[in-house]
Amino acid sequence: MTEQGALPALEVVALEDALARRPRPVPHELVVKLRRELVERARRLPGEESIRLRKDIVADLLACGRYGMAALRRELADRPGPATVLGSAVGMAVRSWFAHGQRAHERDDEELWLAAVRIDQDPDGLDDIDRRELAERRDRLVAQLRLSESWWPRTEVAVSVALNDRVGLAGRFDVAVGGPPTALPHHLIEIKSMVSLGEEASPDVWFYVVLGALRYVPPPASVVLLAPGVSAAEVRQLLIEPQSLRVAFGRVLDALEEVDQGLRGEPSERVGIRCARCPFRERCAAFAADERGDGA
Amino acid sequence: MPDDVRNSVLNRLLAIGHGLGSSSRLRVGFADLRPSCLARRAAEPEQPFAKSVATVRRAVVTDLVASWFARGADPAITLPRVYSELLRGPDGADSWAWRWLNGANGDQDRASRAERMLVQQDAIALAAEAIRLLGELGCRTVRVATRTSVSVGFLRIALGSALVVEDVPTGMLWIASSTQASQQRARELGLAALVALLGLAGAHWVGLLDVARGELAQVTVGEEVLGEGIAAIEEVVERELRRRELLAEARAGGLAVLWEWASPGWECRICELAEQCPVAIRAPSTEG
Repeated sequence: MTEQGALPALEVVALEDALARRPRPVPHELVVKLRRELVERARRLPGEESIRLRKDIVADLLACGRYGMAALRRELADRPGPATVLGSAVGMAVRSWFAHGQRAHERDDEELWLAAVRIDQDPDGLDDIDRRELAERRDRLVAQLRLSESWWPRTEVAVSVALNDRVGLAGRFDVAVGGPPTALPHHLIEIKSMVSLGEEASPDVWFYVVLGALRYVPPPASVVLLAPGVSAAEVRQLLIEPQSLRVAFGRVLDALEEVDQGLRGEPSERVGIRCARCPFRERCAAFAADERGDGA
Repeated sequence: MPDDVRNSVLNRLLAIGHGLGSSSRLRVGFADLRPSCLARRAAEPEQPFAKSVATVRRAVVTDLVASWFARGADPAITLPRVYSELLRGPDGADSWAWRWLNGANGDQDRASRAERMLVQQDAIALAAEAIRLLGELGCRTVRVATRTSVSVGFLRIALGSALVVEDVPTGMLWIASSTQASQQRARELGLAALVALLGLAGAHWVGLLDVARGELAQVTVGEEVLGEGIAAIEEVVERELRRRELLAEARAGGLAVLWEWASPGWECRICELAEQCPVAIRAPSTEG
């Protein structure tokens, strides 16, 4: 099973360079083969429950099967934390900038973005620093994203892929650029609100590699992570090449394996950062062992 | 489509609708094909039909797509350019959806500025992807369908905004939400075929454009797909009749009679009965 910590590091590049890069071509037969493995694994899942994997659920499943199954079944009552809310607000601000273009748009401001976030989350948890920095972070992000119209940037691109009638993968790319009908390479850009990109941002990228490869023929050239940074935006890139594709598909296969165990009533249990908000920890053998200090 | 097929479909729908024995028409749309909890449907008070935010969004997207094609189907579409289109509104647009977007529909469906911005942004992004996809599929002449609902006896099949693709042969398509169930998709195409047959003379095919999947589910209007549509209507009518029975039983015997018909699922999170329902999914659960 692939450990999150064992994932290859992403390359640090400038956005302009990232978009100009051409990865080694991915043979179509490879995508077909990897897809077939996922379809076959999905076919063997027990029961009839609908399974819809998103990036956060795959990350949860790989961290802990029991927690991931609860996330999959929407059984967790967690309220989005400040980081999630901040991410939504920054995403909203970037979307708004793209939609309105570079023209000045009256009252396209923090108040509007937070009001939009408030529709399904609670922005009151944001501290004053985050609120004050919202506009600054957006400015640093869009300073990078002032691309020529020929890149045809589009936001919030919803993608859904069915492995069969009950198992599917879904997600939304924050920004997509290039690809048909432009003559430019196709890249997916994931916007992050954190000032510095740490390892915790990396799992999202690997899920998007799978989603992009299954949805588009040929697969996109890369997935780019873009964060506002401290003084200037920070960019990391994962080229979609045969090797990265195998690693990414392996993670989804592993997640389906966790789903299989969960559906059979035997979810794996692993200690990690999710224990702090897990409703099952009081009855979790791994957590108890960790508390006693004899390892999990 | 021969007249005898059309007449046969009309007669069958009339017969199915007759079973409702009601003076008010039963409205059937795509959303009614989605599996739902009968207990919740029986218990919730009957509300007059109201256009949802999703309906507004689809109407705006449909208008934007048609407007874009009317202006020459420029492949280099960008978000700001679609946004300009949105600000201007399609030619002569004065529909309820555009008034909603501009906050001009009065108190009954007044949405906040933020809600309208979200719908606006979603509509822009979805329209851009839909235009791109239709271009890839070779569609060149696209306009808004003027008739997307038909009434037959006690039934009203109302499917919301749709596009007519006038490339040869002429067809009719809806911007669809993603679904994993192929059976449900077949039923949706069946409903679409009924509307095309009875509402748009000359539609040879119907389609559901699933932008998220990048697919156009397309089927020629013929007896097989029409049969699917009729079966879908039969199911919805049967469910409605059962709902009415349950409502009467609940009024006489209390809520407990409903639980036998409760089915846990996505609705539990928004159901007012969830606290009392023995099978409702509750969060947080104590079992994984």
